[in-house]
Amino acid sequence: MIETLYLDNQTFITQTPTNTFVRIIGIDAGGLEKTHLAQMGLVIGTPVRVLRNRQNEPILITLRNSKLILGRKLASKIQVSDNQ
Amino acid sequence: MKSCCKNPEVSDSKGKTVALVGNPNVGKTLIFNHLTGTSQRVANFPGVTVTSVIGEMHSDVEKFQIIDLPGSYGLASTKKEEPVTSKYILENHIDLIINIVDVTRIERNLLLTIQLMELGIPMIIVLTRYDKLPDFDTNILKRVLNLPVLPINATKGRSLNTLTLELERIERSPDRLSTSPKKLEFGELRNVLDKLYSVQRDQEEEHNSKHPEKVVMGHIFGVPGFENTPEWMKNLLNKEGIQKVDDLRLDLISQMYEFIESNLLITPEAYQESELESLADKILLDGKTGIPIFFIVMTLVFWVTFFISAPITNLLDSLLINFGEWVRNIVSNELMASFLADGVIGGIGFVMVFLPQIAILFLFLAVLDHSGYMSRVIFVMDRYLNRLNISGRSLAPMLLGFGCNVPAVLSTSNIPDENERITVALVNPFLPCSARFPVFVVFAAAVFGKYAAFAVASMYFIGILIAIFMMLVLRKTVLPGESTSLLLELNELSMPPLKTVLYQSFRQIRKFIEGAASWMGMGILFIWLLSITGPSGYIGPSALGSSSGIKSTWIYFLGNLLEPLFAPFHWDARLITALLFGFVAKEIVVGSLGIIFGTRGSDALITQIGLNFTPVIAYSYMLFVLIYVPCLGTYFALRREVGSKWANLSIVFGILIAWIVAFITTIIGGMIFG
Repeated sequence: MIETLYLDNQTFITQTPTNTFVRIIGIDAGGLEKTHLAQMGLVIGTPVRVLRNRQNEPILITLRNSKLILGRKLASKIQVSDNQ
Repeated sequence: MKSCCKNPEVSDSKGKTVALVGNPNVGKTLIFNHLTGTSQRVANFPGVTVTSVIGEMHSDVEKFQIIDLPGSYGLASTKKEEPVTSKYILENHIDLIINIVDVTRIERNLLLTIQLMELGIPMIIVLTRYDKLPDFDTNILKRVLNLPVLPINATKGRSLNTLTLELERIERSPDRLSTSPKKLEFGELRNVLDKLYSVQRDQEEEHNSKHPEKVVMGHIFGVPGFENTPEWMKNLLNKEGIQKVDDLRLDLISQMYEFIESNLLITPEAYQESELESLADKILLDGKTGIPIFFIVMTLVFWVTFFISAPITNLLDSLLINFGEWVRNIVSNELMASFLADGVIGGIGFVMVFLPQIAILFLFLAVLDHSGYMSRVIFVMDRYLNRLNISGRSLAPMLLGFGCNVPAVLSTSNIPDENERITVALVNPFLPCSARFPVFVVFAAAVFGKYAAFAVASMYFIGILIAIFMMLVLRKTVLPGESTSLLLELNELSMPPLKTVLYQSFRQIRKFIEGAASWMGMGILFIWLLSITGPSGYIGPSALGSSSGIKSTWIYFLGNLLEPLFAPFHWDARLITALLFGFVAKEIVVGSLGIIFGTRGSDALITQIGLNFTPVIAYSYMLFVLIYVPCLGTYFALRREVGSKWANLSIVFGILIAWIVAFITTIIGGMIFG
């Protein structure tokens, strides 16, 4: 598990405020979960817009022209950085 | 038309096999129905409950066997539906793939396209929802992928005709069915893939097989049947600096997306949602508004379902009763008349009781699903269900359970996690279906007077508590697992296409009739046999008509035999006999009690029960009916969805839990009321 939540401009998608554009920089999950995420479009380097992120709710994101619902447990494994 | 077949192989006729493959919700079913019309049959894939449909398209010279495969995001197996599609494509001969791509979500849809292109199967691309993005330039796709691209609007028949014409053109130039799609460039991975295909090809020459790409892709994407990576493949990957097949798979998906981004020039926000949709989402995704709206919607669904289905059910019921009576009158042999009237027509009539409400419930569920509403419900309910170690996806089957457990159990096939799916199906019979309501009402009215409504409400409360308790126990013990990590597409909110909704409901209704209903009919016939015969031999159909007659039947004999088991609750053989009937259908409990007590009408039965039983006996009996066994219809739905082992266990545990709860109620009731 990656322990640091904030590292300069890096964070987890669960910590990303609503209406923020970020880019995926790491996925800390097992092979099957990583494959599932990749197949749905979440691979390293993918730009993501967080549409809605409220405590205890799943996270709503848009990527590659579609909206996805991301459970918090899964979202906590996705590391992102500012979309520079 | 052929009925369902165990092996989904297409028929042995000479027609070309065409597979429809695409992401979920891209309009595949509409295209399939346009191409095949009514010549369809359900294909049951061995080992799983996901069904697909095979149909035929006839033209002047050729027959196409068209198979509609379940929606899939890619070849990798990450949930229940996907292995079916990948497995079918990899293990069967397919002449042509029609890859259906939603143009508004084209970037993610093309991942599957590119994976399919690797398999070497001739392919055409059909772009749906083209009307939403009419400026989309299809030439880029045609040029880069070197495949025919047909933009269509799946809801318009005229637009769909272009696909029919294309298939007819393909048929006239057979060389098009021998042209494999070109292999795309994924940097260094192209070389790795080509080397793998080459070694596999050499190996296959020994076995006279012709599909190196299918086998290699099967291993890379971990498709069931291809999970064990051969040693030569591991060694070759190591030489190329790739540690594991998992790494190659993830690299390949990344490279495929990169290819799409750099070569197919998709702009990031090509499709914009409307302001109305954005506002609707603000309301539906917010717990404070979304949850109350959801409960209102579900209440309306149940109310309308029963409001519409009740008169249809009654009409069908009376038609069949009259038909049965007519048959009874014209058939001179008393036994044959009873067999036809009580057994065959009665059996069909029993199925008819379920059918209208099941059909309407499935129709509503399809509307909610295809309008994009269900994914919003999953979003708002997910956090509450996570506490029970289940995900938002399990909500719909549980709510349906309050209407009828049969469609509820059948609808669990949409839950991707196997353990979660079995859990939700197994606890479903604890949720009181509408058929148990008359039993509760009759007993509560008989002994609880003005508190009757509370007694009935308590059944719902206790049923839900037991379901939650069992869910927690099962998820912590034999069916462990955390709630499935939620990763779901939030589809656009829209009016669902009527044809899709009707087709989907029709398929599910047919699945119900072909599966559970045929067994239910046999169950009814068995009970009928037990009710016209007894330990003394043949009694005849008159046994069902009088309280003394029924006492000489096998059913009553069994009730008597089982009486000691229920002795702690002070129930007599009459109540136990009705429980045996209740296994066929909970609706029959009240009716059979009426026959046993020799009463006409529910008021007389309520009076009789009030005179014969104490509140403690009545309440323990209500609880037992709530819990004891799923009805025959639910039992066969369970068998179909989770297998006979779990279905049988649900009966054993149902009876055990019901007995314990009734026992505790008797003890506590005895202490309170003396």
